[in-house]
Amino acid sequence: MKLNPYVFVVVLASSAPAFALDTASGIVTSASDTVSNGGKLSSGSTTGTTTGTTATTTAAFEARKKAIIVGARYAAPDYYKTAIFKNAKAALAGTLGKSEAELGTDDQVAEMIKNVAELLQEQE
Amino acid sequence: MVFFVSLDSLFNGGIVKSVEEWAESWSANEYFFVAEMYMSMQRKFLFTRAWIACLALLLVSIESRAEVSTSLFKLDSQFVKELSPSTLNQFNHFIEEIDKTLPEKIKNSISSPIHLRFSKLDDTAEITVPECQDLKKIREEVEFSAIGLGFSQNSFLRKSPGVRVVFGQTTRTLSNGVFSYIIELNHHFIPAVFGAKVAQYTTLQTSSCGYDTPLLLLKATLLHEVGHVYDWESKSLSISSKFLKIALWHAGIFSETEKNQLTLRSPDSYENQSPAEYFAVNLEHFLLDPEYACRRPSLHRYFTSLFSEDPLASQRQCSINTRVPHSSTYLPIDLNPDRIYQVHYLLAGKGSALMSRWGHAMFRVVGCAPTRITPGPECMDDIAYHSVISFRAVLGGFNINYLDGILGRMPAEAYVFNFTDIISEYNFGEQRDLYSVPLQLSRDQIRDVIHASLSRISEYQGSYYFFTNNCSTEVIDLLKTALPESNALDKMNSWIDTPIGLMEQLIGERIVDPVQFNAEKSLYRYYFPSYIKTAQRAFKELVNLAILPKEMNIKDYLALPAEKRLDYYNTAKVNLNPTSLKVVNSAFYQLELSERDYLASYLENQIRNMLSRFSQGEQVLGMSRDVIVKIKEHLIYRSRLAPKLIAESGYGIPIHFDFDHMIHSRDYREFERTMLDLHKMVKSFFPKNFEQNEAIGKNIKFLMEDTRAQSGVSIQKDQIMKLLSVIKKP
Repeated sequence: MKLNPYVFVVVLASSAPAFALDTASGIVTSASDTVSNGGKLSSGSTTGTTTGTTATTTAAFEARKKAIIVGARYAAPDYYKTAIFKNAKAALAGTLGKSEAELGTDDQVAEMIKNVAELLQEQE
Repeated sequence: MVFFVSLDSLFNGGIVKSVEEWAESWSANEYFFVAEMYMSMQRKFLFTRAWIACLALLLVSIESRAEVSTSLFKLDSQFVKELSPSTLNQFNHFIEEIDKTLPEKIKNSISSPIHLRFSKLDDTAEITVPECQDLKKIREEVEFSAIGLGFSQNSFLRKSPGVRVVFGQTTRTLSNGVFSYIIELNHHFIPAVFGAKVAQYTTLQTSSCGYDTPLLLLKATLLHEVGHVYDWESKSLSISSKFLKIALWHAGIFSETEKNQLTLRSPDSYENQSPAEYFAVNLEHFLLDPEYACRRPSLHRYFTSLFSEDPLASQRQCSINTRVPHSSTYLPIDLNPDRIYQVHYLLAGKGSALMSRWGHAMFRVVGCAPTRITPGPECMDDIAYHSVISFRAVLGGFNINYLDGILGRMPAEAYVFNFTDIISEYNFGEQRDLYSVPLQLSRDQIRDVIHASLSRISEYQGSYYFFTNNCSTEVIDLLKTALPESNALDKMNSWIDTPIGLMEQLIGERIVDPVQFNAEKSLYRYYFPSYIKTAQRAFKELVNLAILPKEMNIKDYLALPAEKRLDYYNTAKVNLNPTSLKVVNSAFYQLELSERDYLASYLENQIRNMLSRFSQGEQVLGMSRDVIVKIKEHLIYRSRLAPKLIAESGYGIPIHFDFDHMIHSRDYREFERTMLDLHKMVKSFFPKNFEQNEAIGKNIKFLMEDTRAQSGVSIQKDQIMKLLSVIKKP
């Protein structure tokens, strides 16, 4: 369940949401894990002298994970053409190291996205 | 010639005035020499011989020292009295360096020489080089603050600076319609800089957070004061509209200018005294620090354009660090302008809470996936690479204090998130729509907005005012930085407008591309409706298919026990063909997700209220001190991870930010551990709600398994497990 227990860090999004809780994802990929998945993930920025290869890899992975979780809500025929579904599809392909075509039909991809998202949610 | 005929009067008290008058046409160095000779003769009483010697030496000196004279400065006789010839030579060398450092445009704009003198400007006993910000001390203060009442993390940011040494000052006087300038430098510089036997002129570099030698400090001081003279001579550039916008000085309601908002990671807090000081301090750094272009790129561009030169370009080795920490996970988010397709004005629609009724204004940065060669329209699909910059007030306690909001007692900061975080927060968590409208910006303007944003993220510590300094004003201020000459932006009255009103103004002034939010092509590209709308649509479909009773509304349906809701699905599916089943299954699935959102949101509110009451001393059933202790523990670790404290100690945008070090640090691990501990503790306070949540989870799983079997999904459990093994925590 996506619940943020540390609600003491209350953030008021200016004249907007009453509060927005600090939304640390709950799952942070360990450095060694992400390295094992390294070649498939973005290498990140090429500018600057900033260090942080592992962090960049982890960040890219986190971004894909969130894309899958969000995309699962729209894993239905009505939404297959939307950017939000396409993005989840690309994220899943990238995460599994497959091409989008290899994943199968949109119906099949939708099922995969839902299942993976649910497992990710459970981790949280 | 005047000198010779009046030399006798040198000894009867008339010489000083005579020499000064005569020296009007001389360079500064010649002037010192005459006065120094006069002092020498007085001491030794060698009047006659000295007369001859003086003549000879003076002629030689005029010849040999003419090469170090400058037309910009004229030294005061009082100063010369204190200097030995060797010190004078060093000073000449120094003046020469200053002359070389100044842009031609400055030198050409100052019509008459500036009088220089060294004076007692304060009560300090010596010149000391300013120290870098003591990050260790700040961290300790943060921790202390976190442990104290109110859990405020930001009080340390509001400390007033300590007693300052006056390094220099400039006076302008008007005589016969002409301005003249006197720059006074702190007299303690003389022993500190010119007392040294070893000349230090050639290898000086600024450190990342200040000037590390007295000589460099003197150099900066003189350039700073010349900056004031140039500012005056240029009809007060420092309060020109363009400079104020780029420097992020607000146009005040009650005064012409208000306090600059970039107060963190300042190279010199004195810059926040006034726009004139801000101009002078930044001019110093522009002229002395090769890294200035990377640390304050917007201002560097301003000065480069103003002077038509970039004096330190050949010495520059840095590049602008475009990676910033995610405001929750601290993982890097790259805002590299070269990889950004567009910047959008992002509006969260009205919410149900009092302060949500006017919407929330943000920026959406449309980044491109690494697979895109160049930024283009296809990047609109790369949602995983889109980011959001959001200005928010940070509350010290658990609940909003509206009076604090009105009086500006809440700090405001620039937060950075992934766009998917914002979709989750608004569409799912708060059931609010998101409207994303592209700003009409050129590639250069995108770069300028991003660079201004990077400065905001690194340096910004504002005060949040509900009415005058809120998300709308922040958005407008940032846009003005990038578009300082935009008349359309100048017309806009942001300080009183709401985020929703602001969007209307942006559309009206053609600053954004109007988007038809209801058009199909805009859905989930420019318009992200609240998820409750998706659920309502699903519910309507089920009613239309007579799977759910017509008289039932969505609220009643979701109020049913989870098992009962699933019964409707199981009953209906018996008569459905595979295609219809897919549609019906999706509808039930979306309704379950919506219910899970509602429950999570409800629980978050409950927990917040409970903690609020508990922190105010109220007894809360089931709540123990352990929770508060854990909260404090977590907050301490979290405060240690504040990006502004972890970054290197320099000013402006950090050039080095070691993300790897941060995520491997003990503080980061403890931050995560305490968060998970809290999760477990809080869960125990709401057993019924968590039971409900588990029941929803079972429904979701059942619905997924039911269609997975029929769709012949190629993904195998082992593939999912492999994926999980990659992301699973060790």
